[in-house]
Amino acid sequence: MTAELNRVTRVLLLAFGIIALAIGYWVVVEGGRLLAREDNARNVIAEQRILRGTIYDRDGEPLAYSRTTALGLAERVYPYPEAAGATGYYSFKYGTSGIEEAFNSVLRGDGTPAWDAFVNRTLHRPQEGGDVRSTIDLDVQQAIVTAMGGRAGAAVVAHVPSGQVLGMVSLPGYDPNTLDADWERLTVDATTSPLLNRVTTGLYQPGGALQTVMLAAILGSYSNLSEEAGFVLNTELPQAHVPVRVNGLELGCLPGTPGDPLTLAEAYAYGCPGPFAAALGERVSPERLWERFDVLGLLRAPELAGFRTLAPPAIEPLGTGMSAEDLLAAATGQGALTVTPLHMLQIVAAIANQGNGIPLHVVDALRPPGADDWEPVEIPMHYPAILRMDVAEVVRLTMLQAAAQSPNVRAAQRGELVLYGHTGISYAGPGARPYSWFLGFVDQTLGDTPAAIAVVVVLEGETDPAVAAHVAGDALAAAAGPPS
Amino acid sequence: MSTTTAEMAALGLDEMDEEWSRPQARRERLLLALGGLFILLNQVTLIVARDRGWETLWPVGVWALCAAIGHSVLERRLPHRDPLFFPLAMFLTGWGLNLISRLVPGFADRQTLWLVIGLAALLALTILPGDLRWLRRYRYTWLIGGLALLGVTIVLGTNPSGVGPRLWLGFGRLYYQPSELLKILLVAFLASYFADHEPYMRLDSRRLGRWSVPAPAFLGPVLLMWGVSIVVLVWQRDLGTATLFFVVFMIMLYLASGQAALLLGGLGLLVLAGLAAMQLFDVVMLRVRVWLDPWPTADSDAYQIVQSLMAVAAGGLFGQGIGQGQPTIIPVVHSDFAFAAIAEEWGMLGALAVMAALAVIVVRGMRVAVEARQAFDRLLAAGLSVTLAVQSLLILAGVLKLVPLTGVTLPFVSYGGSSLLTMFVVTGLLLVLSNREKDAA
Repeated sequence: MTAELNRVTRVLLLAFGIIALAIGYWVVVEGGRLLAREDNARNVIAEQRILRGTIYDRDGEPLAYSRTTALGLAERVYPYPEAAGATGYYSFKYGTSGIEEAFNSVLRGDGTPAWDAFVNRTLHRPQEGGDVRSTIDLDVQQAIVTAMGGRAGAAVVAHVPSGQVLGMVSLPGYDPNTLDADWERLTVDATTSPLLNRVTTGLYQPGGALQTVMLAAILGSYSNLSEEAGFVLNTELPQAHVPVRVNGLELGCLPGTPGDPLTLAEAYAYGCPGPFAAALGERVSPERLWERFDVLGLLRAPELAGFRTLAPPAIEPLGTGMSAEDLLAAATGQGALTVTPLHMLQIVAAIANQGNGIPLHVVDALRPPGADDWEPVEIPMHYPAILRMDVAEVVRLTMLQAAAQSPNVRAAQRGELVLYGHTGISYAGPGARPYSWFLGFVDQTLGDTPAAIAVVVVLEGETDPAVAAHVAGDALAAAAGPPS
Repeated sequence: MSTTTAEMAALGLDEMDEEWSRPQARRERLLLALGGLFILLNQVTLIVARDRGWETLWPVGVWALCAAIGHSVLERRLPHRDPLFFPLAMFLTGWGLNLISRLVPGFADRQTLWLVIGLAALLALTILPGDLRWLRRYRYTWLIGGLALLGVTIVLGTNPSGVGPRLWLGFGRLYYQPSELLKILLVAFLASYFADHEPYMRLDSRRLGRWSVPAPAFLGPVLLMWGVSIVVLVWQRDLGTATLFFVVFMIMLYLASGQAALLLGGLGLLVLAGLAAMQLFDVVMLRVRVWLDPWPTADSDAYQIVQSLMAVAAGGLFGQGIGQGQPTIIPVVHSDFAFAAIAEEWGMLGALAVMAALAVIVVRGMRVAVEARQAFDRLLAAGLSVTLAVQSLLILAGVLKLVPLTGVTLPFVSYGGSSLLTMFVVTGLLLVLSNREKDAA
């Protein structure tokens, strides 16, 4: 029996040897593939343990931070849900948006040095992310939300010339603390689209808000504005009140417009489309206007450092070959061109900044995990001019006059602030809900350096432009202090 | 001449000195101390890593007490035993306690209690007459008793978790699985029967084509008893244990008869039985399908095995560290997939260490068989070693997707009192057998 016993022993040892090889196979040969599988719950748990960094407002108030739950998983907390328009959301299930998306790798701590990451992995410490300092002013943010009072729309406020975005609100919004629970409801409603950031990706008809662009184009057609501006702006225009019919819409002056005669400046102040529609083809060629659109950045995605923005749909270039109806629609902002509030903010900022664009950004500093000091985010110091300096200056003065004359614009006036503004109404089409626009700024120039707080507000379903101006006024008042 | 009390005391001390100075005893103590240190370190690490209370160290204290008492009693009762069986069994059991404390802390007290019961059973075996005549002589009584207990389980059986096969008999908070006892009784029965008939089986064989097989007269009774065991287990849907019985039976038959053809034929029968079981039992069909290709159903039917493989991969070479991996993702990890949990938290090195410890017990057991003078001892030692080996291989290979999952436990390590008690009885019998051979020598 000894021979049989030895044989059985050898076979059993061989079987144990095969087991040892199998362990090696699954660890060494197949290990990488197995660990990378999407259904590997270990990856999910590791992801859920990541302690994302904190997003601060400009004064150091946490707008979003992570804490560890009793289960050892990380939980994202948003103490001020009204800041969601800027912070966006982080959801393990549904991803990220806003600053959470734009600075995801920083907040996750993906750039942690290899050695630190190795030590953390070995000691099973959760991955820690870096902090982000936003330019958002919580007071401004809250003031806008309060002023909008639940109305759908968007508002964005920025400092000129630094380009720091101080407030950024999109309504209807959402509470990022309860995003997972609310997701179904938030995504089912295509008409209100609470998850759409209307500031960066909400495309609106510019309508009357395009009059500022038209005004700049008209003024730009004169080579010597210092001599001719008075004539251009203050010459009485016959038929300024006459409504313009375009695409089944009748576009007229805003309520409260005085009787004839009106100058171009007054027509601008009261949002009368007639003189601007008439200028296309007479004073400004379609090709020239198209070129203006391009220079002002209306034909491409607006820039907001790090953010995903949306390019307007490609449209047919304006040209003399187009039908009169289409040209009329283009001149009144009721054509194919659609814009985001961010597009319009850049134009307003350029008017306040001697024609120069500004580097719009929402985050100005980052702090690696465990570090004490902030590292500034690299922002371009100078932006190219998008308006001629003299054109910007004349438009600026016209907006000042509008603020003085128009009761709608005056609704944005707060205290002693020097207000520049313009209101307009636009329509997505006959029977569609109108949009009420306010574009403006308050001057904060000290010495030779221009400085201002610029604001753009668009309210959906609102026919009274004074309401948009009111929201803008509250936002400007909250932001009036000079940014640090 | 009468001996004075002082002389007796002096004699006792001398014996004790002798015990402590024997190289075998020293080796066993050293191994137990090393094992104890490993288990203590694991438990302390677990307490720190999982922020547990220090009172959760108590299973290690019980383990140390069991090791000390066990070593001391064995020194007196079985001075010539193999010095590796007890330390390795205790080492694996202690590691199992670490694992259960980590995976299902609420079960650690019960498993510790089973360790005490298991050790008591092991030590009780050392008190019984050393020639194991009681086991050999009453083979039919033992086996029929075991089968009767299994029959009672069919009627009164329960499942501690409330669902699944009712394979246990409940005694208050403790549950015992009679099929575990049957493992030992069947091996003892086969060893006894084959030992009595071994010379005839080898001499009086029949030709079957190119091969010779023992005469039916020898095989009839044993086939009948074995068949009844298998039928009862299949009735209970305890197919893993049925497979184990089948393989152990075939190997013991081969050892007794020396006919390799029987072994090959048995393997063929096993395949046929497997094919039949696939048709008869959905669970077998499912396990075979999952074994052949688990990836398409990784989130449903094959979830357990795929997660098990991921756990092995996640462990890498050195493991995540106790309490630092995610083995609890695997359903019933503490019993069926204890090996995967070890691979994840102690890495490939830990998994190989467990496997090596089991392999060493098996090889030492087979060595006891080789060195035994009597056929019964040879067959019993071999049968017990083969049972331990096949059970280990079935679960290790199942966890690593080498064979379909069978649902047997990893000896000494998995959660389960019945299994632990059985393995301690196996160890006890091997200790007795190893001591007898050295005694005789």
